[in-house]
Amino acid sequence: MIDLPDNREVYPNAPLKLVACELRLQLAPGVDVAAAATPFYDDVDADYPLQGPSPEQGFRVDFSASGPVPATLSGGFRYLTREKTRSVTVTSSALVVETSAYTRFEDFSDQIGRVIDALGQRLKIVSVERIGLRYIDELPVADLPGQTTDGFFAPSSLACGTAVPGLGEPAEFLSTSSYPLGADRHAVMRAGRINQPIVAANGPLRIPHPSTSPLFVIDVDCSWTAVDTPPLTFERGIITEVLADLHKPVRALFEHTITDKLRNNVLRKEGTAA
Amino acid sequence: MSTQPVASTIATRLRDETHTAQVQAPDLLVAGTAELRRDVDDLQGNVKGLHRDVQETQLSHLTDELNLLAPQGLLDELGDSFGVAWALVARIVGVTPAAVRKWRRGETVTPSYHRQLAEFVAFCRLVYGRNPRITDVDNWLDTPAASRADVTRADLYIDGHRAELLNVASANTTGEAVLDESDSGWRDRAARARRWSVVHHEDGTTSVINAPGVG
Repeated sequence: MIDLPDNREVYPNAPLKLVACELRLQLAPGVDVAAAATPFYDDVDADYPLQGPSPEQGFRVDFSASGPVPATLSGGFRYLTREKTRSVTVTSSALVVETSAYTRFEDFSDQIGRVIDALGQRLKIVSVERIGLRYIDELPVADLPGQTTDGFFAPSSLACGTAVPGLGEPAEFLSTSSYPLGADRHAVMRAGRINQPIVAANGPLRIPHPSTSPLFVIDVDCSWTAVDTPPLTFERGIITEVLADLHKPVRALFEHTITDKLRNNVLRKEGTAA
Repeated sequence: MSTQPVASTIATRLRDETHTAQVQAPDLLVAGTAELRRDVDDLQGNVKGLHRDVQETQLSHLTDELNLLAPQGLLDELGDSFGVAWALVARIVGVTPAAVRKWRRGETVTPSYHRQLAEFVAFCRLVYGRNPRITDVDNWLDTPAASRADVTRADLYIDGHRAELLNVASANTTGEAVLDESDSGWRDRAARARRWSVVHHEDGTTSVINAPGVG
């Protein structure tokens, strides 16, 4: 059950570049993912009419006399909305729903729920082993007043960027913090000033406002993993309930990282570039 | 020395992130793949080392068993079963061919040479076990370890690379790879030892010929 205040502030100039939800799946033995591609498309083509590039599932490392030989593995299918700002990707090990045009969690959760309903009809999924919900905000330094990060981010977020005597400031920095959320749930936040955007402008999704470099990134990844708790069944109600729990700390972590100077001078400004 | 195991453990735990094809994070990816490459290299090195140790243990155990046999019996097996010439036996063990002839006639073999004979028989048995097509061990050992190399497999045996030679016998590595690890100068020597020259013929044509020892 989603428990969010309807009147929570939505920044008109939010720097959110990508939101992704990944469900790691355990399929029934012998299930052919490729065979589900067309029937699944027939169910979701109203929302996802475009076919996207085949997902890469990872890579395999073979050993030979001359050393390790990596090879990319691909499989599954990906469909996108007509605007290419939202996609659903299915492989033999995961379902990923991601968007570069996020509005509100309620909408995103509903989109995930509809995909779960459709996929559950087409693939025999035994269990869900991990649920991840990731929000990536990127703020190009060039888009900040004065072209500096000074005063826009909490001192705790900039601690790694302080100068070292004899070395000066780091060229880039990225701190990682892990927060336990209880019952196999964690939030991991990476924040810092980096020289390359994390969200690819040339990936499967279209990014409406690609970031320029350098930039400040806030990457919040909340997840549940079946370690001490049992795997979940692939049901919309169960999964969206976990997602709602995982969403709760996202806003708090983001707000903890920024200052009123950023809120007032950038995020609440209509139509600026960030 | 860096604290690699701890760093690796931490990175692995934090790396289990929510995956999306849209995230590139090149620096993170480079760091991640570099870490993976290091892990794979370490693993491969560890496995190679473990396999070498196990092969040496196998050789040692078989040597212990064979050391219980009389030296004459060991010499007979080397000659009759593996076709090893007495000159090569002498070279392997580190004595003169005359000494080997005396041993064959029944003269006493010191415990140290007795064990070296036993180890050589054990090695020949393992080579044959790894690759039954190597019926003439003498010829196999007297062959250069790699094309154009001035080092024979017998030289590698004498230099202690017995486990590596067993891997060569089973085609799990090459003589070049063993030499690269054990003798960094072999390629330069091989290049110097062989020269190619251009010959201009009377009819105006030219040929490239192999002229060993030229230059």
